[in-house]
Amino acid sequence: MKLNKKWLVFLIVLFAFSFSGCQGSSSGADTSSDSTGDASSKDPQKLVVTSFGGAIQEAQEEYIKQFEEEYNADVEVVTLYSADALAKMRAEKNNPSLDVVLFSGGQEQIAKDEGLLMELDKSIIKNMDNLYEGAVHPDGHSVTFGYESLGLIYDENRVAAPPTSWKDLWKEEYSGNVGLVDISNTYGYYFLLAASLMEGGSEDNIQPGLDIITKLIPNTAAIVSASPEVGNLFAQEEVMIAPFDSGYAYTFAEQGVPVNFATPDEGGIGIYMTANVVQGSKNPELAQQYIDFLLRPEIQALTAEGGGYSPTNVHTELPEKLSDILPNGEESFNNLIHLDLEKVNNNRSAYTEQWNKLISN
Amino acid sequence: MLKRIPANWILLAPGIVILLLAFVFPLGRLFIYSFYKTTSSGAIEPAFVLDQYIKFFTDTYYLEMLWRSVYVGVIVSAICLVLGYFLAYGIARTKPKYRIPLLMLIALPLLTSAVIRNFGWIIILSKKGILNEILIKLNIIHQPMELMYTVSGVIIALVHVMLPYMVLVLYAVIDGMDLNLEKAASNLGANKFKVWWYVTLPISKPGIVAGTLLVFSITLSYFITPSLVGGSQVKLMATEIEDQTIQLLNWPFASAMGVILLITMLIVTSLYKKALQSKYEGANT
Repeated sequence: MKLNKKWLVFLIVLFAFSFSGCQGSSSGADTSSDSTGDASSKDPQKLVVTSFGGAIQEAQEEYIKQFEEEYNADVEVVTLYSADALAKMRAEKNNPSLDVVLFSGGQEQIAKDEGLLMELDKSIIKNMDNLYEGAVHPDGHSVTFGYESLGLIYDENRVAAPPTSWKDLWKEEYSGNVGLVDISNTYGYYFLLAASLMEGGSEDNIQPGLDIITKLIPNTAAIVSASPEVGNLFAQEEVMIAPFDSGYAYTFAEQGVPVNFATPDEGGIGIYMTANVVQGSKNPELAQQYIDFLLRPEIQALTAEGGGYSPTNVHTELPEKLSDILPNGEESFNNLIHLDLEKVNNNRSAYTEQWNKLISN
Repeated sequence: MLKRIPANWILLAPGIVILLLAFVFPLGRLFIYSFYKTTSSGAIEPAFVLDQYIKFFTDTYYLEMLWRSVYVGVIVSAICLVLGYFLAYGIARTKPKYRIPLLMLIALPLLTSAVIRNFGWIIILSKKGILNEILIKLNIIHQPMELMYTVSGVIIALVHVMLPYMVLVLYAVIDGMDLNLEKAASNLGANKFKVWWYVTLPISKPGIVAGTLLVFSITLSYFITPSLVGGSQVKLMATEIEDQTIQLLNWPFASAMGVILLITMLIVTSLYKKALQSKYEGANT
C-alpha cells in the first residue's frame, strides 16, 4: 500500500512528539539576577538570597532593587523551597553559595542544630527590637519576617456568619460543601494536626483527629492536593468553607474569588517565614542588612501585599484591603499555635498512610 | 577485526547500549531496592528482606489498589478497542484523499500535552461543569453526577488520552489488508457481517493485540490523568508510587510496588495473548 510507508513515518514522528510532550515544560531558569550596574566608584557587593517563587518572589525582586541601590549591592535571587534550601546548605557546608535563606517549615531549628546558621547581630539588624517578642528565635539565629495562619476560608456570599471554630466545618448547613486538602499538602497536614489537637490528641497522636475527620468526609465536596485548586473549588462554588491558609485566602481574593479568612477560636496554626544568614557567608554584614531591610515596616507591607504574609514588626501598618483579610497585630500573632515541627516532620510518613486509607474511595 | 562483527550487530549496538543504560540497569536497581529495609524513622537500609512485599500483600488497601489499576486498564483498553476499531475501520474505508486529514484529526490531540487535555476534562466533568449543567438543563438528571475524583471520571479521561494510540495501530493493519479477500467472501455469498466476522476481524487480529497491549500497558503506568482527575481519593498504583517516591521518600516500598506492577502487567498481557490465540485458531486456518 502506498499510504503505509508515509504513514509509518507519520506514526513515529507523532509518538516522538507525544512523549516529548509528556515531559512537560521543565524550565530550569528559575534564578534571576538584577544587576542594575550603576556606575558608582566601588564595585557592588554580591549577595545571594532565596525566595519561594511565585507571587512572593515577584514582590521581593521588585523591592530588592531598592535594597541594591541603597547598599550598592548586587543581589541574586534563587528560587528554593525550604527543604531544598536546607539540602543545599548541607551539601555546601564548607563553601556556601547562599547568603540569606528563607524557611517556612521550621527548618531553621535543624539548620541551627547542624551549625549551618550564623548568630544574628542586633546592632546591624536594628529592626529586631521592633518585632513581636515571639518573632525572634530564642537562640538569636533566626527572625520571623512574616507569618501565615491556618484557619478557615469561606465563601463571603454564601456563608451568613463568619465561622468561629474548627467545629463549624461539621455543621449541617455546610454538608456537601466542605473542601479538604490532602495530607501531601502541608496545609492539609496541619489541619489534620489541628483537628487532633482540638480532640485532645497531639503531634504524636492523631487518632482523635482521624476519627473526627472520618465524620467530616461525607460532608466533603472534594479533597484536593494543589493549593491553587482550593481557589478553583471556591470559584466554581463547589465548596463554601475549607480549612486553609490566610496567605492563600488573600491571593484568591486578589484574583476575584469571593473568599474571606477567619481564625478559629481554638487558635490558628502558625506558619512562620524566617530569614536566616548562612554560616560562612562571605558577606555577613550585607546579609544582615538585607534581613533588616526585610523587617522594615514599609517592606513588610509590600511582602504582605505580594505574598499574603502577615507582618511581624510592631510599626507595620497594612492598608485596609490587607488588614481586612489577613490576620495581623501582636495579639493575633501570639494566639497562633506553634506546632512541634520536629515531631510533625518525623511522623509524616506514618500519618500519610493512615490518612490515605481514610479518604480513599 | 571489524569485519568479523556481523553488520546487524553494529546496527543494533547503539540501541542496545541505550537500552542497557537507560532501562535494564535502572530496572535492576529498582529490583534490588525493593528488597531494602525502611527503618521506623523512614531511613533506607540496604538489606535483603521481603518486608516491602509482605507489607503490600498483607494489606487489603494496597491489594485493592492493584486490582483497581488492573480494572481501570482493562476497561479503558476495551472501550478504546471498540471505539478505536470503528474509527480505524471507517477511515480505512473512506476515499484515499480523506484518509490523511482524518488521521491528522485523530492524531492531533497527541500534539498537546496530556496535562492540558486533562484540564479540559476537569472543566467538563466537575460538579458545576459543562456536562452536568447541560444534563440538568435538559432535565435528564436532577442532581449533578459525581465524576471528578471518581474512578469513572478517570476512565473517561483516560479513554480520550489513549484512543489515538489504538486508532493509529489498528488503522495500519486494517488499511494494509487485501480488499480482494473481502470481495471474494461476499462473492461467495457471505453477508456484510459475516465478511467482517470471518475475514476482516481475524486479519485485524495483530492490530487488536498490539493496540490493546499498548493501551493497557500505558494506562497501567499512566500518572497524569489519575492524579489530576482522580485527585487524592482515587489511588492507583502509578499515583501511589509517585507518592511513595516523591512525598514520603520510601523508595524501597515504591520499588516493590513498581516490580509488582511490572509482573502484574506481564501476567495479564500473556494471559490475554493466550486467550486470543486459542479463540481465533480455527478462523485462521
